[in-house]
Amino acid sequence: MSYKDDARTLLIIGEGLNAWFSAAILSKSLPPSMYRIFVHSPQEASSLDSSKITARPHIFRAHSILGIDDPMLAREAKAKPIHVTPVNLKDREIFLPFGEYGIPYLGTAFNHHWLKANKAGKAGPLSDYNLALRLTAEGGFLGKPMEGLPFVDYGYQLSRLGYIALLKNIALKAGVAVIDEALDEVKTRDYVSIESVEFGKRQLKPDLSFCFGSLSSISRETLKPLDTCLNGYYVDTSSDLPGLGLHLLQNCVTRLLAYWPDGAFTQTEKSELQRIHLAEAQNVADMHTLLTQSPDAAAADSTLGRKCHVYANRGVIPTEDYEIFTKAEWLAALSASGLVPKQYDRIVDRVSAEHTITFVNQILIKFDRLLQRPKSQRAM
Amino acid sequence: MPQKRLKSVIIIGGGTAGWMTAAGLSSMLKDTGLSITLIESEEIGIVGVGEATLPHIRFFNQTIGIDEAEFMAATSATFKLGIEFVDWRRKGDSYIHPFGDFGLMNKGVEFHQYWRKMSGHAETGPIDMYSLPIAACRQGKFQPPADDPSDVSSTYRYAYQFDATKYAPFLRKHAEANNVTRIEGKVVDVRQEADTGNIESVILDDGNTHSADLFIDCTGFFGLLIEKTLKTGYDDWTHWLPCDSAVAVPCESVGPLLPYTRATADEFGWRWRIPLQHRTGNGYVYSSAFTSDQNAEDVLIQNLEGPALSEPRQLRFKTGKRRQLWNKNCVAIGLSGGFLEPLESTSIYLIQEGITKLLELFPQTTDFMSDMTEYNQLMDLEFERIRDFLILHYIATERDDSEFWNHIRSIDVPESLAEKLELFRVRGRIVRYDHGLFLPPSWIAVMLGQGIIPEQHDVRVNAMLDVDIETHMQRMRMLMKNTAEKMTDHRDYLRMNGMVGEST
Repeated sequence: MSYKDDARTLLIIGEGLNAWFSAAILSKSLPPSMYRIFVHSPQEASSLDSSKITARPHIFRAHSILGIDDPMLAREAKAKPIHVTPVNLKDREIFLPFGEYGIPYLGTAFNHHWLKANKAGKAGPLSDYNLALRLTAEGGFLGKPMEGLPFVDYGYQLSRLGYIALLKNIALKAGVAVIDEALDEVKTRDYVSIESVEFGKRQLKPDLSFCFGSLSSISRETLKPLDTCLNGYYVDTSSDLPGLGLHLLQNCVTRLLAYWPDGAFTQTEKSELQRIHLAEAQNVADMHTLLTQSPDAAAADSTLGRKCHVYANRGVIPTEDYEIFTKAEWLAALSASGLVPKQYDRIVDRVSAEHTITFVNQILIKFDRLLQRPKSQRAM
Repeated sequence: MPQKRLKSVIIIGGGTAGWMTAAGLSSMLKDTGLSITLIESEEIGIVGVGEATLPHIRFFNQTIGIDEAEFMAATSATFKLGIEFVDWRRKGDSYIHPFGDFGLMNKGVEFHQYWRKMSGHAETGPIDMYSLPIAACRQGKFQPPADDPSDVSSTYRYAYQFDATKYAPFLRKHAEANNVTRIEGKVVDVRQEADTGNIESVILDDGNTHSADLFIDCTGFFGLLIEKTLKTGYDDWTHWLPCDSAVAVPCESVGPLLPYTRATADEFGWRWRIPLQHRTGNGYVYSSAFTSDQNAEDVLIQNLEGPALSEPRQLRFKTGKRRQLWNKNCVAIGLSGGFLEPLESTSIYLIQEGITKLLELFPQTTDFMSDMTEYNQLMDLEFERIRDFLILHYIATERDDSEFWNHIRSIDVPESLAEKLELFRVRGRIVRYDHGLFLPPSWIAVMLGQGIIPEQHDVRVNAMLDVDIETHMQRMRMLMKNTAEKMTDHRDYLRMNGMVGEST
């Protein structure tokens, strides 16, 4: 790779997946020859084993930038398509589906019709009416939309090692360079900008420095200039929920591109990046709280408190700006937490209880018909 | 407090807000055991606000089963592809806020970033040249958008400009067909429950009492239930938007029928021009702190394009919103809930949103508390985000030709808007939200139109060679121009599609 004389230097610090995902996206998105990208990636503990990572459907946008398709992902990262995010809790496993519950009717979400049928004792468990959940339970896969059925999206279970190697390969081919030496110090000029970064005897003078994810091998104190200086940015995208760390990371990196500075960030730009990230991270934290604790753990005036309260009263799921999850995922989590709405949407009463029960049962019949087909007819 | 099934709604007030609410509720909640009554008095005039609308109105009309041609003819409506802002940045300047996109996004980068990079080249021209609805506006053309997303004709939406005094009677027919009961009468007293403070009943001038579980206040600025009875309080935003008066007068139509509304900044506020089939609606929104009612009226009359068709009508308002749009068992919809000047035609949109959100949260029982809290939170956000967008038009100006404009330039900008301005100024970034009316193309149109040109462009634009960008832009300019030329003349389109009213 030949660079222009005024090419700028970028430094990315992060463990394994965080570093190579961001390096791959930045190197494929920024104008070539204008940026020298260096990656310092202390090996993450989890990259030593054969663990899996979950990628939500959202990852397709990143893969289109990176030129990654399904066959490549299957070959390099042993990808298996999934219709849900599986969340393993102490005593049970919960699935967050990548597809809606039933189909809307009378301009109203399906769960309201189900509630009415359920109150009459004529409906099965709500999860039976979610095609993504049904397919998962029965080991099926639907790669393409089918007429008359709700759309079901898919993500992947990936080999962590394989996926990181794939991303690293893409980044290296795009000209990214590796710094193997240990990071010693980040030096600043008047606490306003990062002047240099010391790696043993090697010194780098980056124009912009980034760190994604949490780092176990580098002290937070060393990285603090990335928070305070306008030519640095640190963001912790880690999450205990499968696939959510990668989702937050993807959003941070692509948002960073949209705010990419010619020189340094302005304070407003940095604040805006942080504000949006915190809103997304709060959304993920809300889901974690709901799944691992109980709806009662949410303060009444919090974003999660609002969701639980409005859902419990009306069966409606309010959304915030910068929502990470779909309403179907929230519905799965709210139902799993034991909340049952007191009321359903009044519009459902436009038709008789018998009509509603018939409508709800027709959904089951459609799903059953699909699931009775040979798997080969359902695959992508 | 025992909860019972909510069985009855009374709407007080029969203007646009009242009949839209009656039509919306009766259409969506028919056959659910809900009785809907609307009480109005022919003695009380209607403000008839918001002759110009936003594209969302089409969804409302479709939902309640309105036939577009029938509606157009009945309300003497015209099509609307955007709003022209004249003299806002400075005198002699003009731009259009279109109901559509500028250019096409490329590799996740918005078109205006490419335009910004190339804006130093003479052939690039203003960003208006890359908007199909703007090209159609300038040529006085109209065609419904295409469904095919790959067709450039799918890159815009449209709204209507209609006679609001005809819209309410038109909706009344639909509402009454869905069993809404209309009662003629004037409310002379309101009774509240002693223990809860809820509204129990209203007493009419004929002595009859009418009670309901839920009341909708559509009494306009008067706020009979929400304010006079429940003393809800009002958030006053006049320190940001100081216009507090308007004078309106229709005039005869002159010249071609334009498919857009015009808002012309004037010495003490701004003037609207809304072309209908049979007349043109005109008005002057101004600040009474800087000019007299008589002067405002004189300015409006002097600027009419044709002879006035009636005496000018004065209005007073206070920009802001009720502290709670839903208080106890009363929901305020329309002007009783709040007022934002009609610079971006948001009045009818706010009515529609009030109805839509009420339907989403419509209570099954008389226990409203959680619905009320959620409704108020959602509506507050709608009002606040529209408010910021309106302020943008005022504060980004170079005008210094009157005390009014000098005062405007000195007002404090809400923090939320100040951040948006800086992010756009630096690199053309648009703050995105999941909620709120105005989407990035609207912000781009007004920011650029008001002369806020980003200092830099998105760096990803540099991944494309200038020559390739220019070729692409040249093709786009031609595509917009040629596509608009093939559209039908606005008036001819109305005639050809049976949309012309009898009074035209």
